[in-house]
Amino acid sequence: MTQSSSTPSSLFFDRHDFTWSEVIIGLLVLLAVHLTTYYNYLLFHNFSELFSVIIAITIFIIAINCWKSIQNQYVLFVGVAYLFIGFIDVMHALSYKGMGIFKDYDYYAPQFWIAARTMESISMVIGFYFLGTGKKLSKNWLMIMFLIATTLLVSSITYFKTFPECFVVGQGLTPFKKIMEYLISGTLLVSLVMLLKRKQFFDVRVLRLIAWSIVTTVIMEMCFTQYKLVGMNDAMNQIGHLLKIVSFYFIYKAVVVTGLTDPINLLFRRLKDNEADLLQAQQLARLGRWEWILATNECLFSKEVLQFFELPDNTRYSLNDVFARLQSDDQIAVQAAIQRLQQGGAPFELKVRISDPERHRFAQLRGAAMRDDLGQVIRIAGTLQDISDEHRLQDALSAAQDKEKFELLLQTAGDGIHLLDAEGNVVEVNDMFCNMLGYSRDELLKMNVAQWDANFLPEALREKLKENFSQRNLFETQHRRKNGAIIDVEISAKAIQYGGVPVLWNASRDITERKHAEERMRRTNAELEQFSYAVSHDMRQPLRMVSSYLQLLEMELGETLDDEKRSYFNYAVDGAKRIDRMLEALLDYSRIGRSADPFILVDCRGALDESMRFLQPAILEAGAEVNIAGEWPTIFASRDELVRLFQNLIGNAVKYRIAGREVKISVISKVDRGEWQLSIEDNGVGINPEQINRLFKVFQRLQTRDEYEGTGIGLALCRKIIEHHHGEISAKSDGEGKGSQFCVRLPVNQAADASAQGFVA
Amino acid sequence: MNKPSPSFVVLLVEDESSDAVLVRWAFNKNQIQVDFRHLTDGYDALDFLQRATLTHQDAPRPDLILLDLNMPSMSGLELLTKIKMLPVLASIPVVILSTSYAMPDVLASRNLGAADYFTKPMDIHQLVDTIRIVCERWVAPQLLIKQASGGE
Repeated sequence: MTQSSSTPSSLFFDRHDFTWSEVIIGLLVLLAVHLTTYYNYLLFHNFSELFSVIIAITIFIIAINCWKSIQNQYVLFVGVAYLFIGFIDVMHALSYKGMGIFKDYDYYAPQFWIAARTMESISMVIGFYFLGTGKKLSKNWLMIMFLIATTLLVSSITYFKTFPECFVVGQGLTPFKKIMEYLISGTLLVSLVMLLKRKQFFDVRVLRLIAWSIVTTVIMEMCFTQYKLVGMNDAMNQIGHLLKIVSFYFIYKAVVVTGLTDPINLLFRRLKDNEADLLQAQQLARLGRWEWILATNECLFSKEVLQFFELPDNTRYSLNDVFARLQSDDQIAVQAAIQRLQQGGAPFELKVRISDPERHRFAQLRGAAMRDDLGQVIRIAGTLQDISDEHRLQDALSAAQDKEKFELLLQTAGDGIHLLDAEGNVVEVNDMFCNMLGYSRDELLKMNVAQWDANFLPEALREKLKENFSQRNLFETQHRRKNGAIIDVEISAKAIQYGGVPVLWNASRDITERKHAEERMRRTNAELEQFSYAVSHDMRQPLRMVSSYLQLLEMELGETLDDEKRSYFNYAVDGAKRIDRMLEALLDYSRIGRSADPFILVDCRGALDESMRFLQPAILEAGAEVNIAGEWPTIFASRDELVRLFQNLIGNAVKYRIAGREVKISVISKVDRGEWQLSIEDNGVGINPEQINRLFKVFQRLQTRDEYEGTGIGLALCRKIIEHHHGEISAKSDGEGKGSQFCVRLPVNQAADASAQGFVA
Repeated sequence: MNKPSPSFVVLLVEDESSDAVLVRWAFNKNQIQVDFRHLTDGYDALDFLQRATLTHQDAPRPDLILLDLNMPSMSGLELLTKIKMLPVLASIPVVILSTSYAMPDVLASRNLGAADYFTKPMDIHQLVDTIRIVCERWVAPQLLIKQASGGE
C-alpha cells in the first residue's frame, strides 16, 4: 500500500499538520521577535538567528537519534545538513555588523549568509541522490563530508578571504550576492520539483512540510535581494529573518514526523493490517480473541467471545466479568492458568463450559503471555473457540447408547431406584422400588417423596433433598409401604443428568433384616458379656474352693499320706485348675469377633514385636532361635487379636519342640497381589498329616497332656481370629518329628470392606 | 514381722466363709498375728465401721480392710464408695481381694480409692504368697508408724 493512498489529504494543505496551539505559539514567538526591532535591530537579528539555529540543531538531534527509524534517506541527509547550516548561521549572527567580534572586516555576515544558504539549497538537492537507493547512509561519512565542506566555506571567508564580497560600503549589496540569492532560489525550486517528482517516497505530510519549507526559503531569499542596508530596520530584511524561522520549523516538523510520529503510526498501521487479516480468519473459524493488557488492566474481547458468553458487546468487561460466566471449576482452572502465565508459565489450553447447565456451551480456551524486550509479561492474550456443536453431536450419540444402558441398569438393579426432581416428585422408578413400596409404577410417578418417607419431618426432608443434590450421600431412613408397614432402608443418593435435567438418583436398600440382625447381635453381645463375667467369677469361686481345700487337706494330713495318696490329691487339684484355664480360654474364644471396637490400621510388624515381648521368657527358656524376615504390611484389623494370633502360633512353635533339638523358628511375611502371606515354620514335633483337619477345632489335642501342657483351644482361637479378618489359615507337616509350618493369608487392600464389617460386629 | 502386734486390726469383708477361712489360714501360715475380724455382709461391715469411729468396745477401728467385690446384698464397690465418703474412715487402706480379674473391676476399684487389688488364686500356695505381699505392703509399714507414735 502506498503512503499517499493511506492518507487522503491534499498535497498542499491539511489543517491537521499543525495544531491551533502550535500556530498561536508560533505567531506569538514571531511577534515577540518582531517587537525587539523597536528596541534594537541587532537584538532582533540575534533573536531570530538564535531561534532558527535552535531549530536547526534540534533537527539534527532528532535526525541523528532516530537514525534507525527514519526510513527516508533524504530526510536523514537534510537533517544532518542542518547542523552545519546552523553552525554557519551562528557565524553569520556573530559576525553581524555591530557585534564587534570580528574586528578586521565588518561584512562577514552576508558572506556567511550566502554560504549557509548555498549549503542549504545544495543539500536539499543532493539529498535526492540518496533517496530510494535503499542503502543505509553512513552517519560518520556524512558528518565528515559536511565538516570538510563547512571548513572550506568558513576558511574561504575568514582565512583565505577568497569568498567574494557581498556588501560594499556605499554601494550596498554586491551583484555577487544578488546573483547568489537568485541561484539559491533556483536551486531550491529545482529541489522542489525533484521533491514533487519523487513524492511516492514521502509521506504526504512530510512532502507538504518540505515543500512549504522550500517555498518559504525561496520567498525569504527574494526578500534578501530587495533590502538596501544591513543593520537598518529594513522591512524586507525583517520579513526574511522571520520567514527563515518558519522554513526551519517546517523542516523540523518533517523530521519529527518521519523520525518519531511516523514510525509509531507505521507500527500501528502494520498491526492494524495484521489485525484485519486475523479478524477475517477468526470470523471464518469462529475463533474469538481475548486480551488483557497488564499495565492498564484493560481487557479486550472480540465479538465471538462475547457472543459465546452471551454478553452484549456495548460495554467494557474485565477478565472476571467474562470468566465468571464459566462453571465454577472451569473458573478456577482458568484463573490458575492465567496466574501461571503471569509468572512466566507456558501457554495453556482448556476445555471450558458455561456455568448454566441448561445451555450446552463448550469452548476451547487458549492463552499465552506476550513479553517486552526485558522479558516482562505485558499482555496475556488468547483465543476462544466455540465447540458446542461438536459437543452436542457427541452428546446426542452417546445419549442414544446411554439410554439403553440406563434402562438396563434401572431394571436390573437390586436396589429400589427412584429418580426425584428438586421438589421430590418422582421422575422415574424401577420395578424393584415398586415392589418395595407396594405401589404400581403409574401410582408412584404421581407421588412425592414426602408421601412414603416415614422418618424425616417435612422441613428436614426438604433440607435432605437439597443436600443430596449438592453432594453424594449415603443415609438411613424409613419408607412407608402402601399397606402402612414401615421398612428400614439405606439410601445412596447422587445428582445426575437425566434427559438433560438434573435429577436425584436414589437407590433404596431394604435393611430391615440387617437392622434386626444388628439388634440381635447387640443383645447377644450384651448377654455374652454378662455370661462371661458370670463364668469368670461365679464358676471360678467353687473351683477355687475345690482346689484350695484339697490342697489344704493334703497339707493338714501331711505325714499320714503316702506318695500314692498324695498323687490322688494332686490329680484332683490339677483337674480343678485345668477347668479354670479352659474356662478362661473358652471365654477368650467366644470374645473373638465380638469386640465393640472397629478395625483400625495395624502395623503388623508392630503387633508381632508386641507378641514377642510376651513370648520372650518362653523363648529364652527353650533357647529358641527366631528369625523374622520379609515385608510387613499395615492392614485394617483388630490389634489385640493379631497379637494373640502371633502369640499362639509362635508360642506353639516354641512349646512343641523336641527335647534336645536346637529350636529354630522362622517367621516370614510377604505381600503378594493384595494378600498378606505369613508363614511360621518350626523344626518341632510336627503333625501327623492325617490329623491335620482336627487341628483347628476346639479342645482338640494331638499331643498328650503329660508331654505338652495346654487347653486345646489355641489353634481354634487362631482360626477364629483369621476368619474374623476374612483370611485363611492352614497347616503343613511332613509328619511327626519333622517340624510344621503354619500359613496365614489375609487380604490387604480390602481394608474398607473389613472396616465396615468391623463396625457391624 | 515376726513379732506382730495383736493390736493391728484387719477387717475382712467376704460373703464366702470358705474363702475367709483360707485368708485367715494364709495369715497364720505367714506367722502374722493380727486382730482378724471377718464380716460376711456389706451392711454389717458399715455398721461395724460406724461403731468403730465411736471407739466402741466391740469394734476396734481397723488398720486395714480386705474387701471382696462380688457380694450379694451390697457389692464391694458400693461399700468401698461409702467408706471413702466418710472422712473418719477414708484414711483406712482398703485392699481388694476378688475372684475377678476383669479389667473393669480393677479400674473401678482403683478409681474409687482402693489401695491395692489382688486376684484370689486357685492355688493355696499362691494365696499364701499373696497374703504375704499384702502384709509387706500394708501391715508392716503401718505397724511401725503405730509403734513410733507410742500406741498401746
